Amino acid sequence: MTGTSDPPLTDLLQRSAAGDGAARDQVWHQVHDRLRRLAQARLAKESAAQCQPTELVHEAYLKLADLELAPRDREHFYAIAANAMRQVLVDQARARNRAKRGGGQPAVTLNSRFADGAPPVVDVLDIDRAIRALEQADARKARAVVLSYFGGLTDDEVAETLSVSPATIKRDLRTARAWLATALDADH
Amino acid sequence: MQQGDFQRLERWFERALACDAGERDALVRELTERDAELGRRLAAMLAADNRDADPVRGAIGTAVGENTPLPRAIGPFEVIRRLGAGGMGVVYLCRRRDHDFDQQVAVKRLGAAGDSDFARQRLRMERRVLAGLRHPNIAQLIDGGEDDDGTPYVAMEYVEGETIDRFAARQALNVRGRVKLFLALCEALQFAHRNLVVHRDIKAANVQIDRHGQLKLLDFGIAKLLGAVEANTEVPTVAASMTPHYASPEQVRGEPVGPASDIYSMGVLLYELLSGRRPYEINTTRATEVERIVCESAPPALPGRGMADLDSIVACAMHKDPARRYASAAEFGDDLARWLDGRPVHARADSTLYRLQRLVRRHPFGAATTALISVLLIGFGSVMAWQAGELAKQRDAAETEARVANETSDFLIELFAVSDPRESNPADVRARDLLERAAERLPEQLASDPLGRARLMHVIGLAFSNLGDQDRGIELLSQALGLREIHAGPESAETADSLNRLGNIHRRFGRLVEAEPMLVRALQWRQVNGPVDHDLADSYNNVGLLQNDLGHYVQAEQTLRRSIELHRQVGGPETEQVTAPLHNLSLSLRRQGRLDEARTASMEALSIKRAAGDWSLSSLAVTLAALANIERERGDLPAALAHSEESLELREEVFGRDNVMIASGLVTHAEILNALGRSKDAERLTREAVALHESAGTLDSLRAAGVRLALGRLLIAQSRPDAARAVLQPALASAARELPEGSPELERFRAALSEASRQAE
Repeated sequence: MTGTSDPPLTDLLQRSAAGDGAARDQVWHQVHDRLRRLAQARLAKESAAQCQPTELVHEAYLKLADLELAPRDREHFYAIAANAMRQVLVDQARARNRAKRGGGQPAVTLNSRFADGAPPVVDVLDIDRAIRALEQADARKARAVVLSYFGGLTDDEVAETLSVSPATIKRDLRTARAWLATALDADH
Repeated sequence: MQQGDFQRLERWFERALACDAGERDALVRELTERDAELGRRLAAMLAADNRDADPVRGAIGTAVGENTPLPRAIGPFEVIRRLGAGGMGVVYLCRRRDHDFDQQVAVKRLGAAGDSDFARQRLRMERRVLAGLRHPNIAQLIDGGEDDDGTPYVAMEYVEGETIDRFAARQALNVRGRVKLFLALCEALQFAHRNLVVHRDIKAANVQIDRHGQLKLLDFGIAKLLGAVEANTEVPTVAASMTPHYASPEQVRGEPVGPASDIYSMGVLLYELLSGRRPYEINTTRATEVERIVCESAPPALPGRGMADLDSIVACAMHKDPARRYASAAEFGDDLARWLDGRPVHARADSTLYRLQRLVRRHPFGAATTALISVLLIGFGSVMAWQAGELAKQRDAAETEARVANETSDFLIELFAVSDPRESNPADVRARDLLERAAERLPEQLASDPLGRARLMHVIGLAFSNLGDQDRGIELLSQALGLREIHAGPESAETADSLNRLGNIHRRFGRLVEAEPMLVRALQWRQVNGPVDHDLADSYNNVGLLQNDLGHYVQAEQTLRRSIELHRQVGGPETEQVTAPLHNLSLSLRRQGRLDEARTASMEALSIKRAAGDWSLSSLAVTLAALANIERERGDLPAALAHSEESLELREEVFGRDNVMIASGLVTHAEILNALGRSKDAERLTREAVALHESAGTLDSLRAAGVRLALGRLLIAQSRPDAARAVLQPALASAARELPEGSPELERFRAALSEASRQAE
């Protein structure tokens, strides 16, 4: 659990749900921090490419939310965790790019020897940029994408979190997925 | 993108999703007219929606995995760095810890997500497969086991190099260099197949050239041991992990695969290596789409001149039907080696049909609206029916001994192909002894397989006659014909083949009375029963030649034009096959006095032969001589002399100075020298030609008669009528024996003789 100096997560979530910006930041930091450490520990144990963010987020959820959350809080938490996950990956990608620029080992690109023929490998930073562009055009679809892709939520969970019907979310995600793919192609 | 634009795009996208494919295209066009950028975007979105794979989700999954801190060690190997991640696990560059020598290895280790029973089985399989394969062109298994926490791994030879395509590009290798490089892959695969291992994932990325220029085949990750029982669950997984560009038709259909599937993928790789692009554009991972492209479309021909043989080789390897591909990687490599040596490739035999199929696919039956296409299709119908029969026959043959005999015969034919100077380089001509020995042993060969024996006799007979020994040639070909008439039937493709060849040899040596019924019978059989192919066109050509010899030049012209038309219909306008009838057409035109048309036809034949590059020298010589004659008659003596000199040099190079095959070239050259006023040189060369016929024992042939006719005319021109009569009288006697009464060719002899007599008076 969190250290004694930190307010309990439940409180923070409830306060942030009520519009307390400072409380929301605190939740975010906690989640982000936990996720990052979790990701590293987990990955150090050797998790391969197939390791989905879903598992990490759920694990983070279990570790962080060792508490009874109201349904509304749980949804809120998912949203925060998904964004934190996205941020963890973006930060790491940036760090890696900095390391590359700084010399050292040339990175073996995934599409060279081991993933030839697979769909083109896309950088997380490009995805992040594309999602930002989507946020400008259609904020709800962007949120649905983050929840689904980085949070690993099911369509129904995304619908519940965003308070719209599952049918709408399915449509949103289908459109967003196609749109993101073209936005990524346009980058290349 | 502005909110408004996005919402418009979304509305169009949702509308398009509700439509069928045709209506979608119309919608895209409609939007494109209003707003080109939005239209392009809509098309791209629909294409992305149509793909099964989701690049965004895939990339996020990869990103999570990529941030892995390195393990310090795997088993006895110290990890240096991560090389990449594959379908089942991560590959690390490692160094062996417990040895003095510093050996770098690539260690593949299952990841947590890949740690299923299935993945473990696969890795164990890879280990077992690799353990049995020790070959210089296969990346070697070094070790395998389980590390401290029980995760299985395999350690392989680390190949520090680049992929075969990049290597070839960086070294700027030419076509020959690329083919040579590829031969090592044939060896590696042949070795694997012989050890009952099918690789199943041959692609450029798995074929690396190391720092020493050595080719290494990598990644037996989805290899299969032939005969091993496959779990049903494996099929979709293999389908998902292979690369669609290289996948064979049977692979994309999820059918069981064997070595033939590797041969197919090798064909794709060779295509890529030779052309710089892949045979198919596959922009989709949707299984049904991939299957449609791979199983139904035909790859475009290899671009570039002089690639016809390599195109046939690639086409043979990439045949849709596994049974029609090269039977082994070794055969594939052998055919490439034949190409490198300038010998005829086996794949060529299959290619006529292949090209036809390609043509049929380009003109689907529903689109046959023009008269031309419907005319073509009549021919294609019979080809397709014939092909079906042929396939059935091949399948049956596989179970019988006849096939073994066929293979024996194939082997020998290959051996003898070398001793046919028309098909090979002068260096290979000294094969007469080999032929003699083979002919002596013939009676004991293939006693149980009369058709195989006939085939052998046929080929040896052809080789003899091509070497200038017509008697031995005719003897063997006649025996082959006899066997075929009995065992394949008088009305069979084999018999027609024998009649065509034998008739042509009789014709070539001037025995037109024997030649005519044979050539006509062969042509008739092929017109009625055979496919529209080069053989049919060849029959027309031989009959046209006969008509030329008989002096029926107008008929000959028609027959030869038909031959040209058929060759082009089958092999395209520039097909090398068309050069023979073109050459012969120029002869009929010349005899009709249409010299400019004759020159055009002859030049066309010459340019196709020269463009083909590896065209046989003697054939080039024949066309050059014909052109020389035409130029002489047109009065362009310098051009005539140049063509004739080149022709004679080529003939001497192939046959040697004292071979009867150069006699006609000597006469051509002599006639030009005579026209230039060098009558003594002309006489000397012509007498040389007569002497060659004398020592070859062909002095009473129609050919020799033609040479003596030329000599007689030279002597008349020198006002030596007695000497002229002395050579013209026996010449007329032989000609009268071979040519029917009233033939204009025969008249040429009579005219010369009566002129000599007038001069004597």
